Amino acid sequence: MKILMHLPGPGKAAGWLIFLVLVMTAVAAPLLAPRTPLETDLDHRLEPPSLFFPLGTDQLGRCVLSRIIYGARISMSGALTASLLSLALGGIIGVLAALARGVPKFFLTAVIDVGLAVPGLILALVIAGLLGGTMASLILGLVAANWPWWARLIRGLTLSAWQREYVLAGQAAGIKKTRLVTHYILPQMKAPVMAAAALKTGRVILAFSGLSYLGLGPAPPAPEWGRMLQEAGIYMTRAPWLIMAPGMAITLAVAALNLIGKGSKRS
Amino acid sequence: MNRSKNISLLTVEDLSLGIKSTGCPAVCLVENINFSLEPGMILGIAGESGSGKTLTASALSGLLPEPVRILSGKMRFAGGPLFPEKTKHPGFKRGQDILFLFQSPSSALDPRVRVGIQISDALVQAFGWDRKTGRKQTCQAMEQVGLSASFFDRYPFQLSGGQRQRVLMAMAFGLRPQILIADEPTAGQDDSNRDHLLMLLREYTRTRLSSAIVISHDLGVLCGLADFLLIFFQGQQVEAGTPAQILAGQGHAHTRELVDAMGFFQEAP
Repeated sequence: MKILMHLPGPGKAAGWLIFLVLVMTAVAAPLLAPRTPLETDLDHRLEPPSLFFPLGTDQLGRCVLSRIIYGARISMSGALTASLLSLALGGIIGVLAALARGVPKFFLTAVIDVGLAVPGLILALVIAGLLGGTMASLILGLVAANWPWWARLIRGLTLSAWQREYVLAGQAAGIKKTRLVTHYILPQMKAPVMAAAALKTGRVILAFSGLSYLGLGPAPPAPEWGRMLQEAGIYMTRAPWLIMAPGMAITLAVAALNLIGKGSKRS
Repeated sequence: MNRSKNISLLTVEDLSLGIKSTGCPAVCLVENINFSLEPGMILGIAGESGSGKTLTASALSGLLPEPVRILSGKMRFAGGPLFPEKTKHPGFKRGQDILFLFQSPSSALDPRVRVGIQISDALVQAFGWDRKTGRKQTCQAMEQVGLSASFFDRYPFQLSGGQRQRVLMAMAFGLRPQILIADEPTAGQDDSNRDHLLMLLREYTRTRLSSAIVISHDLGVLCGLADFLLIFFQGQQVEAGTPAQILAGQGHAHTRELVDAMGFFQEAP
């Protein structure tokens, strides 16, 4: 009975299952992919799905399935890194903004407010565009766009936790502020932060693919899902499987994270 | 009141607490509190709810809730100033010099942290011990208040109200503060728990020669415990004296009410 109580709901479980499958796919890409993602075969261009090419081939005769599998590495790790970095940066600034007094408090709060006022996607676009299309610049752009949101959330959670009587009692007993934050305040944020992180990461995957679609991601031969979608657009009528595959991959990843997030919110 | 010539452990002179904002006259919540505390003495503060007892105690531990500040008056601890807003007394250690035990033991303990850890965190911080020593000393302190060492790894929700209150007392026994402030330590406790707690409080001050400030709405509890009593009424200190003087009932009308209320439920000691 005790184990049953800790089981996630069906939606959350399905979300985790899909997400873990995607992560495993990214990790085990060389084992799973039938071919390498960059191997061209000009005799087999734009072929429909067959036994030999399960998801068909693209305009250069590359195996689409292999590109999707290797693409999981780039798209998932890029979005997860961007999401975790914004959580870390926003978390640190949020906690500091909540606990600071006087001028530092005013300064940090102002920085968060300004960050929130700047439209995130446009900021990411500008940073990724100015620094040239690489994975790192895209991640940097996404972190710049997303950290203020995290800072605001963590600041609010810290402020409300700081008012709790047991935190005051801890202060009265002389427990250090840093220990109160790390051992008494941060643990209570686990549930809301987990839910928000899942939902937010889903959005970051969308943004990552979207910016990559615009040509701001890793440079062309790299098999990135958003980039594949853009290249497939030209051949949409001749080879519709080319847009189906990356489109489904992005949808699955985002849906999985949304299911996890919604499920965590409910529990 | 009897103010000795040598330096008292704690003196409070004309303390007023209130809310001040620019452009508005200050709103006074607690006015003109005066008392002094000698080593080994138990001071009782009695009064109806909302009379400013807890606010005064918060001021002493420097934990006034956000908009409330010290409007005027002086607090001196062992000869040095105590929290004149920003400038802290250099050698002052919160928890070790003055320990404020909050009113309700259920909300004063973090539900996610093992009770033993909460005590040992304070001890480790105060005495600079390593975690292992902290655990040993915590278990000792818990045994002094009648909790076995197995309680160390329990969470607050696994304890009864009386056991939680004893956990807070264990913190006091471990930290050995010079002044222990206990806010309504007997609220919500049954008779046997209450008597046990009062015994612990008395034992605490006797054996360590430390002082205590005990806040309660129950004059009966305080008369049996305190050496000196303050009566609060609507944010003012309306009477001060030994329990015998207070019970003689020559003073303020509110004191009469408290004394009468006490006689209503139990016999006066």
